[in-house]
Amino acid sequence: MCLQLGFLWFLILPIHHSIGQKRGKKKKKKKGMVLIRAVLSNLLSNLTCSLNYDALPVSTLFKKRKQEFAIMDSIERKKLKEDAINLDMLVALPPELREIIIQKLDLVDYHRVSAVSKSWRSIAIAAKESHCFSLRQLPWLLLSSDKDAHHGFFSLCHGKIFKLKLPEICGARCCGSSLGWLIMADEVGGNFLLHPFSRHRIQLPCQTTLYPFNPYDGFELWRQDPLYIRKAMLLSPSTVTGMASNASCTEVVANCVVVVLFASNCLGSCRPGDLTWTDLSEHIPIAVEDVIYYNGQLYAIDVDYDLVLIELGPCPRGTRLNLLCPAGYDRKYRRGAFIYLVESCGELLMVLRPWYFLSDGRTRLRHIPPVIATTFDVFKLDFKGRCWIKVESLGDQMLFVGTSSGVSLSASNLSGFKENCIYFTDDNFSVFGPMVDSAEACCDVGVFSLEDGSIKSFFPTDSHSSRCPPIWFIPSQL
Amino acid sequence: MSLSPSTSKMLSLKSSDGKVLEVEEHVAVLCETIKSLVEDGCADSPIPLANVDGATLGNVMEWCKKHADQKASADDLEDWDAEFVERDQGELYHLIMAANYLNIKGLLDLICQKVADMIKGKHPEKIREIFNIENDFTPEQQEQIRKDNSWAFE
Repeated sequence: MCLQLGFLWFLILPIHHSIGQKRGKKKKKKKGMVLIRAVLSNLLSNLTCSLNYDALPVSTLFKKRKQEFAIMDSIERKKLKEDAINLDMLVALPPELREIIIQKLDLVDYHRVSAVSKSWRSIAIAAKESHCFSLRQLPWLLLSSDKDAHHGFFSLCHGKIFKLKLPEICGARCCGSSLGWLIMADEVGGNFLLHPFSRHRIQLPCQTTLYPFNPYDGFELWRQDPLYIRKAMLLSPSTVTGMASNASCTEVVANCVVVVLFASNCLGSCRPGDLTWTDLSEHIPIAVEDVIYYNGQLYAIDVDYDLVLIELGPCPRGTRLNLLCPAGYDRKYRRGAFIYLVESCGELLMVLRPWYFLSDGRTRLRHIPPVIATTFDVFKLDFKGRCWIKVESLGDQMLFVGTSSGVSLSASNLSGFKENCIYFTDDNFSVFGPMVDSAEACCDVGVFSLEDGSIKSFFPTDSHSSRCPPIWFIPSQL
Repeated sequence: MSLSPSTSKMLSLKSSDGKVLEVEEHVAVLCETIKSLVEDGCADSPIPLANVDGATLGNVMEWCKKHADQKASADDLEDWDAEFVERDQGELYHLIMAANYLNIKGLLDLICQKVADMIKGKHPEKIREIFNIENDFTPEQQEQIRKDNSWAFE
């Protein structure tokens, strides 16, 4: 078929071409000729649709491309162009170009764009439904409130706190945030996932369903306590981090696994829809500090800075990577440090946050003083060398760590944020649980610069909740 | 295929309104569409660009020329770009359409970012003012839209 068409093309082209050339010179050519020309060009344009480009010689291809350029300049476009100047630019653009613009906005701007006019609203809705649509990922701080149902979301980019009414999390503790979801524990040990903007809620099994193989009997007593979960993560096996469009969001959550780190440093896991938590402590008896999905594998980091490859399933197991201890740290004489895992530009980073007791000379009854960070160390995994290599600079990246899943983002085009910095939130509860004086907790929030080693405040740290420190949260749409 | 300034020849580009622009090849090939024509050896006669008018083509080539200059530093380009995008909406619209048609990712991204920046952090009333748009919602519709996500309109 293709060969035949190619042959026809060669037959027709010279005639058509010569007619075109003569056109200017002999305006009053016979009417019959005009008719033939019309028929031929009609035939030609039909043929161009089915012709195989590769089979054509270069000269023909050029003519073909020239023709394509001409075809695209339709009257409709011209009209739209004029409209754009007089009327509405976003409406005049083709959908794929509108999407590029809308994807550069965040969730707040998205809602505001939807309220501009009817046509802007349909443009925003249509963009959301497109397959790979995702809004700009900007970290916010969730500021839980003990007092009322309004919780604050502080956006550094907007420089303000947005108030969101979320009665479902009143009295509950946010144990983690990943992929736009909050992982919650209520006052009686009930666990659920919450998408704060759509208020979409996914029930998880109760943490009391877990009867842990627990080497520390003391923890048995407060298994219902929201503080029993030290940190929770919603982990997605796919590399999709921006969960934005409706379809992909529900799909991704269905394939996700929730991994929790209990106050006893033991691991538990469940999937949305499970009736009970799966206790991993018996199979993987390690003291875990953080967990991450990296290169399609689940890894935990233990208190000895070693990575453990975790395999879930009917027979969960953990395999140590036996990494060398990072420079400046000792396994025998351990420094008290929070350990975070973050994936940044394809590398697996270990962020160490040594802590020191805040010593202000005050005597505290029954409580230990809160700890504060004074420095951070960043190492990257050298998989082949089985060791950690010190990272001196993060380039244009910034890291966000705390009770939420660690995130790395580029600072370029983000006003309010600084590159080569670590933005951290308070993690006192994760180590000391209820032993921390709640009046003083939640205060260790700041930004550490790898460039000059300074720690600065980016947010006034007056505690909004006595049980839930500010937590990083990346808003996504649902 | 590497095209360095020293070996660069001139290409002529013909705009929709018939204007012919002579541009150095290493500048013009920042447009992927033109680059593929050059690579296929099809760029001998004036290349007709039926979707780009003369004024826009001039602006596009000005951007390409600056970005083809290997001596320009990243900071220098950033400042230059910031000045380049200070245009009225008609010009921005034409630049987006041209950058898309000529397949220049850097320019398309730059102009789209500019339009996004014109929207960012503003309330609907202000966005309408900037883009000269009439509010065609009924008061009831408007009330409902704001109620659905009231937090975003504080």
